[in-house]
Amino acid sequence: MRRRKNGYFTANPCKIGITVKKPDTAPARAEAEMHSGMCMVQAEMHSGVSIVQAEMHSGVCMVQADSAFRGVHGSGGNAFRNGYSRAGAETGKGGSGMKKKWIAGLLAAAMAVSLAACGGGGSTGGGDSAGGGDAAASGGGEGGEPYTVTMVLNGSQQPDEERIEAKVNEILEKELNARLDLVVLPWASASQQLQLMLAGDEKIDVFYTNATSAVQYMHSGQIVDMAGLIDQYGTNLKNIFGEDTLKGNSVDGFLYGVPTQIERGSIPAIFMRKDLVEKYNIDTSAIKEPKDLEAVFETVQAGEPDMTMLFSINEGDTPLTRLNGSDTLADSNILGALIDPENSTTIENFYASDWYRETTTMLYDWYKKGYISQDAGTNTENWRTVFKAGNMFSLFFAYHPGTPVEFESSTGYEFEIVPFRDYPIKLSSSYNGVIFSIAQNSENPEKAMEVLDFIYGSPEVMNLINWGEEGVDYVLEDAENGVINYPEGVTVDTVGYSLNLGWELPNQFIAYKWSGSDPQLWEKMEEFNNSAKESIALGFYFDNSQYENQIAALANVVKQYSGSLNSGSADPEVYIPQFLEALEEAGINEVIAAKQEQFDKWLSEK
Amino acid sequence: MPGGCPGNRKGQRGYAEGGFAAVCCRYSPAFSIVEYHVRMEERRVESKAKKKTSRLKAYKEHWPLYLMLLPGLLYLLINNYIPMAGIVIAFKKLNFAEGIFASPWAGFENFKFLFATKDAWVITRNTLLYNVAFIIVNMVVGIAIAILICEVRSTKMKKLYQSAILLPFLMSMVILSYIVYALLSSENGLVNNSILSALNIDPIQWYQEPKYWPFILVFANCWKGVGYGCLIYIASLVGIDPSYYEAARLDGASKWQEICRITLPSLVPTIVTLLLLSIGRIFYSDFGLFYQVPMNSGVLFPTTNVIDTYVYRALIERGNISMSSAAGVYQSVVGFVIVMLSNWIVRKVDKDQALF
Repeated sequence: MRRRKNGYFTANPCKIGITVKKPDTAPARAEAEMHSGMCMVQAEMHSGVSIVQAEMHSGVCMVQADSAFRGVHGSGGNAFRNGYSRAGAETGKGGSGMKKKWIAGLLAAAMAVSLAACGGGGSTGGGDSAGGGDAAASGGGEGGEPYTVTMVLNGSQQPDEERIEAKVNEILEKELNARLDLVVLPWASASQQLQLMLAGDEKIDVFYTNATSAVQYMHSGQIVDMAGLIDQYGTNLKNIFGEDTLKGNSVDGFLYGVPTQIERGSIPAIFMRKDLVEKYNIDTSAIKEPKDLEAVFETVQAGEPDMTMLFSINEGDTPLTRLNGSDTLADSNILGALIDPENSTTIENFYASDWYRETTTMLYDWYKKGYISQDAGTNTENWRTVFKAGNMFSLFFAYHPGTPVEFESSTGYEFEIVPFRDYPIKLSSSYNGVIFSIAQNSENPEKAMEVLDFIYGSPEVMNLINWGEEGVDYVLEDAENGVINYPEGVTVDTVGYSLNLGWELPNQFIAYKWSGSDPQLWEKMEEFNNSAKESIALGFYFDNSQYENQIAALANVVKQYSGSLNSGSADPEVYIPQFLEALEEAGINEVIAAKQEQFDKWLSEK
Repeated sequence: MPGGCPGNRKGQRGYAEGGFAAVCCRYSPAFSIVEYHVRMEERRVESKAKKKTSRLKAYKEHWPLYLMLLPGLLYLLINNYIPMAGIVIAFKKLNFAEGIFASPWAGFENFKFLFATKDAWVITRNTLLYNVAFIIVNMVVGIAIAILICEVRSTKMKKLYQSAILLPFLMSMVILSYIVYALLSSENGLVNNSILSALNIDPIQWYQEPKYWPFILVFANCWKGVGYGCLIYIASLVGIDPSYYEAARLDGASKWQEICRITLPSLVPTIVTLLLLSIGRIFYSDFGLFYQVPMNSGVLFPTTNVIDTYVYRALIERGNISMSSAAGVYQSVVGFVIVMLSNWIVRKVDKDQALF
């Protein structure tokens, strides 16, 4: 049985096309051609303007409507488990309104009802993956057929994936009687594809995610509780993180995911282009806090009138987000935060805080003075691209031992880095921002856990998954420190396998480092992590499942105001009062109170 | 003089060659199905008593035609009717482990977020008003351009204009959003840096001023969508009997009179059909237009937020299928009511023009 690799777009369609035209000008035409397996249905009504199209793929039918969005998030997003189909229909309405009314009426009545929902019919492919799964499941025991663990990651698929899987399997078959199947979903569509894999009957065992999604999956019964599995199979995990930290990723005793090895916490810092800092003789020791930068910007701007002083964007790496030192409690919309994470246990409205008002005022001032781009409020361009273009002087970003090299390799410039704090703070999201969860679909969660835990302790497997095969995809440049580079004649464009996603894989700290990195990078990273102070809320996660409606409404309010304010392009005097009023109306106080209640309960149990 | 498009035989052949009217298919069997149904209806009116036997006889006589109808009906059944069972998802708290029908009921809980704030009014108003504006502007401009194109005598030029007007329709909204951005951007935009500065007007922060966006969006939508409507109007213009125009010209009618007295009245059925169809979509909005073109600028939400973008922003991080289904059901129900209502009104005015 053919195993599907990553998604739903692999088999031959069967197509039924129906074309109905206005009876008196042009007659109708019908044609049908069928191939095995799946079916694609398309109808066009030329007398009207509606185009209806739906596609059914084995086990999965996704909607293709005029806006791709509606297919997934809107009217047509539903799913059946157990091999039924995910189906959606986006119907227009039709009919030719001339004389032949009753056929027109029939068509119109059928199509006018613009409903989209789920159907159970026509799923030929359901058995496909299920069959494969059963075969694999039956061989779970030792000595039997090895169980294949499907690991889903986000990234770009590598051309020589099968060669690496074969190498990994040599190790896993010997050690655990298991195999590994890597599925790499492209970034752009990863969340939708993952949602479909979890909703359908797709083969999926362990996958990369974050706490916000994982808790959502938990409530919809799409992942399994890992607590018992870790007790039994999580030897390496317990050694690395300790049981307390691992248990931190739980909601009501349900352990939803295990963290990967990355930096814990970060230090807000200003990153300035070194060449310009030297050219204008800037005294970096005079920069103690963000507002000291004003003098720097003034000097540089005077000499470089065509340059923009500070990078800003409307979402993501905004200056305000990057300066923020409060614990946002793993909530991207920051609906209630610990403003002083080291000392305070009171959850406050972040947007009503003095810090928020002062910082947005400072940024707006810089915006008016031209230090921040006039297009900051609409900018969606990644900072790497902007710096490469050579017109940007500085950026607020999070510092950790890996950043200097990362910045230089991704922009081509050296940076002078001034941190605004001496030590990192581990926030509530430090251990649940990048995690691995085990899917409900897994036929053998025990084996999945065993394999996952094995990778945490196996440099060989980590190097294979992240960098490929030694001698083919990389060679050791500095064997003593484990620094590697491309073999002679191989480049980034010709390499067969180089996933280069250490932070997303279980344990990068035991793997090789790429050329140009600090030879002691992992040691420094551990040191950095150990130097971190802890937020009081470290390990706390707010279970918001009872507040879906408020949070959905609040998300809209936050998106309306935060982009402009956080990027510095809107006047805080005008917009913050409006923002706060809208938040209150949408129920932020209720959410904060609930957060506080859960937090207090969590503190008392700690 | 050889006048408008309908009278211009050369032009008409041009369309047939271009495949727009697809006249060559006139005698295909599906056409006969329609013919057949009409005949059936006439017969039914003639004699109600004989209805049953004659219908049975007709089934026997025309079974190949019914057989050809089957794939279409099957399509409707599989794609439009069976999925309707999924409406229940909007009223469930969906749990994948239990499956759709076993999940607990949630009543109208999933609908609440749509009406939680005063945004409910803003998004409903924006959705409706924008769609009304789109329908009117695209119709008026579409008809005007269709008439103008039909007046072009050279077949080559006619095709060129038509393709040029259709081209934006084939573009992605993301491209359109960057075309608009190239015009309106504060730092590098053409309007601020070349046009307004030449007129000594202070630059306008377009992406910070909600008040301009109703015009910008209607214009952008018209620019992008008008070519498609235009094609349909051109197709029906070609169908107008040329003898009307000949007669009008003999009577000394001016071009304007020809347009007002012949062209527009002949277009009424097409206009009404298209109108009713677009009214059915009045509660849906073009997500790309409202999300991409304003560059997701929060300050503009009061004039750019519509139901679809609201739902997207509310649920993108949560992936809550029940709540997104609830939004879909809400749009569908209102859309359905509006179609029924407008069809009812049309039928009151002119029974022949109604869809059903």
